[in-house]
Amino acid sequence: MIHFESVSLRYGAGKPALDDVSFRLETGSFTFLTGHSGAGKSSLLRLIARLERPTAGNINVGGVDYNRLKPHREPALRRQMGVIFQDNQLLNDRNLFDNVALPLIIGGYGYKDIVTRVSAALQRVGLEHAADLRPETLSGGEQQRAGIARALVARPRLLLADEPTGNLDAAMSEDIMQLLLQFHRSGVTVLVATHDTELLNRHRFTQLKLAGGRRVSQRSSMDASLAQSRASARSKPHV
Amino acid sequence: MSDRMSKRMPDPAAASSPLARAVSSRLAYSPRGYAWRRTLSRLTARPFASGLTLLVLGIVLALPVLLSFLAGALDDYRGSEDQSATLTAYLALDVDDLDGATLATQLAARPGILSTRYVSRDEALATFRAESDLGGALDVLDSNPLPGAIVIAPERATTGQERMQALAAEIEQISDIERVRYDLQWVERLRAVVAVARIAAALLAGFLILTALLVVGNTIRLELLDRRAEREVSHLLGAGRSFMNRPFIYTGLLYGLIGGVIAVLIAMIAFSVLKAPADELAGLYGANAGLKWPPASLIGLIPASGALLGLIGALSTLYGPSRQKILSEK
Repeated sequence: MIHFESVSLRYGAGKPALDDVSFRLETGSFTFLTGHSGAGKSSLLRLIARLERPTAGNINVGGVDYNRLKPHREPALRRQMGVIFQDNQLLNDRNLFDNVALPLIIGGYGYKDIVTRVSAALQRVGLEHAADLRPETLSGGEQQRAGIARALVARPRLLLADEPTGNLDAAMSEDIMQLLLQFHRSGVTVLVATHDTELLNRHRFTQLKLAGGRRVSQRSSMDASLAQSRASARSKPHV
Repeated sequence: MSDRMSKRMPDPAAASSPLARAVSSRLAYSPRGYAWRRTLSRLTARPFASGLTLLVLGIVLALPVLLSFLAGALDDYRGSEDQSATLTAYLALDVDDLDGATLATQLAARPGILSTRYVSRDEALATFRAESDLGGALDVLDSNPLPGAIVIAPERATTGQERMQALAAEIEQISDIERVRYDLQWVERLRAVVAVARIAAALLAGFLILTALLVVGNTIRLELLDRRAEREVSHLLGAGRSFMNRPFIYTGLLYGLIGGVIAVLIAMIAFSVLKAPADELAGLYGANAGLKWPPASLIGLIPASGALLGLIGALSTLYGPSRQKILSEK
């Protein structure tokens, strides 16, 4: 589904944001992209969403070779992805319905379809009561849920989430995580960038770790589960 | 989706018939309908700022519109001015009315002459008495000293200075005609003044149209800066350039259209103020008609031209060389 081959990204003349990164993620997988701030997580997500172009290497997403992708095909590629940001990027000049409907309007969906899908998406994230409200009147957790509804309303095959729980407390983070898992169970490939160690410890999924723009490890969900068991065993008092 | 949920969804056409509601909802959520909705909501969200911009645009466009109205009126006026370019052939004193009228008819049949009118000696005397302060001096004379005359209106193609001279020389050869007089100097001067005025007006109109383009361009530039977040989100969600630019193109179109309507209104008020003195002036120069109201087709064309200007202003900002600079401004 997502294949990076020796990908590098450099902004201007400075240090590369990503340096010779290679990995492969399978269709339908749930992956955590981890690493400290500045490790290159956001840059990697922006490359997948084709918001940046790599300075070297090759990216293939869902069979689409980015090196051969023509610029006029990029918006259509982006419409097949859902993107969630830490600051949710909802538009405060319109209500929640219109915010969530935006990807469908862009995609040229009919009005009936828009109403059906937006209603279903809002219902799924528990915000059906807030369709007429402006995002600024919602809590942080509700806004993030609205962002998820917008990312998933067009039923994308791939969901990219950049620190989706960054501004939320533990309970709300878990709430958001459960929503992402719901979509993952319905077949969506999910890639979540996070440095929330609690979240990583609670959920045993493949972890792709970046440091200083380089991939330092890729642990499968089984490895992650094993590591977590060892960690919890070490923390238990000896009897 | 449950019925309860769909009833809760915002409806852009609430409080209208079900059919109108269905149609407007469909339009409002189509990509083009969305762009119009965004355009109108932005326009009405800041009525004072939008109104001020529209007024500036209307005033800037009003002068070229007024000049175009006046140019049309001058074309009509030139027709009557050409008609006032006549020759007067004075007959010998011994030519009687019958011969004079016959000669006038014969002259009218000549090439280059549109029409003739015979003025008898009695008519000339009556006119002189009525229009001249020296009318009383004629009472001391035994007989009418004024000759009969034929007023000759040449065809329009003959009204140039040289052609009039040639025609006058030709008519003067006729035996019963003593002298031919004509005065084209004022017509020629008026034509020269009008020609200079037209060039100056065209230049001024050009500058003002350029100003209108800049006003629209700057409005679009500010809108681009103001709606940066919306553009970025749309870009992330897979919007193409046409989807992102459409609201700005419609904004330019709408500003131009409304600015054009305001310009027509201002120009028509100015035209009506100018009409009375202009009619009086035209009368002094012997023109049959004064300023005529512009035709409805021209009035209708102005808002359409305004819309086109707005469109050009928006497109030049969105696709012109300054685009990248605007989008990178913080």
